[in-house]
Amino acid sequence: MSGPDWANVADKSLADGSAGAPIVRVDNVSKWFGSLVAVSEVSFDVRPGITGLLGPNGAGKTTLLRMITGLAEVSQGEVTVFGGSPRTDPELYRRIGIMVEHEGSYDFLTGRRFVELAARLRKVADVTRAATTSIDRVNLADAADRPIKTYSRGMRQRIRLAATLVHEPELLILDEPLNGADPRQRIEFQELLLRLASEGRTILISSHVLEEVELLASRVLLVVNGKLAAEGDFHAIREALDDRPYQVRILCDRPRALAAGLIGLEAVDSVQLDDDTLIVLSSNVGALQASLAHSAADLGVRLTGVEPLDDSLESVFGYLVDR
Amino acid sequence: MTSIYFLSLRQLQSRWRIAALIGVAVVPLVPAIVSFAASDKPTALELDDTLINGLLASAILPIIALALATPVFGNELEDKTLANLTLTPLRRWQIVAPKLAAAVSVAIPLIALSALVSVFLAFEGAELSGGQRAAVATAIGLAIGALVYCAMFSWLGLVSRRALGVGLLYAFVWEGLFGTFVDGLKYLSVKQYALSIINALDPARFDGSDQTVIGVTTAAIGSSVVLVVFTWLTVRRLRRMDVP
Repeated sequence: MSGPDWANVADKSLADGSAGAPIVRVDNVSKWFGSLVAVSEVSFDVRPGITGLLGPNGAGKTTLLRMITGLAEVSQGEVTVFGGSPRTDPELYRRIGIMVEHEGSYDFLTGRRFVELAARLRKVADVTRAATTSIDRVNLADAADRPIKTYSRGMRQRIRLAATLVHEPELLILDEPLNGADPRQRIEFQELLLRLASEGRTILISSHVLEEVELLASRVLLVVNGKLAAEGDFHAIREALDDRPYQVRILCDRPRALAAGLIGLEAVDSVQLDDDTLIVLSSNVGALQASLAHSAADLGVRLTGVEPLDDSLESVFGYLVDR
Repeated sequence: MTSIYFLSLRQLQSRWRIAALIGVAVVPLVPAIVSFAASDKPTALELDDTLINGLLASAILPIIALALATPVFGNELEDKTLANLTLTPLRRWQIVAPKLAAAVSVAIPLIALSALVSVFLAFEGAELSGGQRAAVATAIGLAIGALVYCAMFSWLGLVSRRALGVGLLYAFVWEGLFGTFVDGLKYLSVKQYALSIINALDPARFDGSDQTVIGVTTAAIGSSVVLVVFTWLTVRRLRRMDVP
């Protein structure tokens, strides 16, 4: 069985409205540390909108972002941002806002002073106003005049985000920005990112918390073991994984009877019965949906729930890692 | 650039560091005070040998410069805050220059004040004339030495996680030990540059000294070259390194 056609997946995504000059171009980039290859021959473009850089911990996401931002030099290949390299042309940082995962902040400064410092370093004209606006954006006005050393982890993330946004960058690069955020902050953050993207900004966000990025990103880049395993629209990628059956959990009053009835259906590859839980593996979910209700009715089984088990990025990761 | 200068000054102002540096800076007052109490008063050459050369130039100067210059980048690397500066539209020299200025602007007053007070008091206590001139000459020579050392140790703080240890080895083994026994090394010693400038500003004090001191022109050129080269190396390193 042939694998998914990743090139077509990517093309589909571009055709869906993300065409135009790339803001970020990563061309055949590798990074190694001694004999350890952290990133291997990765190529992709990032265009306006939200792009999710996804992968399990240790996949090479942060290394990739560090090369894109200019914090790390590429061992091979080329990275361009707005057509240039931030490492040789720091002026590009006027257009880029970067929030690095493990970046420290100056704990002795207050949140406001920290954001004002970021504004000054980025040569913002009205520092005070820009800092106030940015702090308001991340809902940290109440704590802005407290030293950062008194902040919780979530507050530190928010003040760093305020510093990242203070110069109104066209391109935002955010590495694991939701670490330490509570559920309410996550929702606020997601709303903020969607708002920023709707203003025409380009956002590249990395995360290993997949569900939250799935809600945000119009396009995803999947990095596994230092390689780009897939890129494009998440659902297009999922559909392209047609060599792997979907798992569907079926809740009913007589799972054994239903399992016996379903096993002969063309849409069903196999069934698993674990205690009273029926899990069906199907390569044709559409056909399964169409026939499930009829089969249950014929068997006199009452269905109480049907849940896809693997329509998440987590499952895609797992599948890609296992391949 | 002023933002980075004041930020760096603030970073250097940890309580323990300031206390330790003041402690180091007052050490030369001990021989100065002793010279008041001594019945056998030291000569100018003895003061030069023990206080100016032996203590101020050989120990106080490199220790204070090391303690102030290595953290300007070293602490940023350790705290992972350097990215806050490098991910900005600033040219790398615009980051290096204010950081070096911050280290120098604390190091020079400390060292110069320590030299001024201790040398003047020592000459007064020893009932010697020319104490004012010797104190001013020592303060100026050591201030120039502090500038050069700070450039060197700022670079060291950027390239080595053990900058303090390496800097101490350089100051005490290379300059202190080898520099004393291998005559040619005087031309590659910041301490010798400082001593030569002191000598040029107060030549009478060295009358009768058996020390061989390099010429002041050589010292001025050497100081300038070391200052420029290590500042350039710091800028270059900052441009090429992977910032944590």
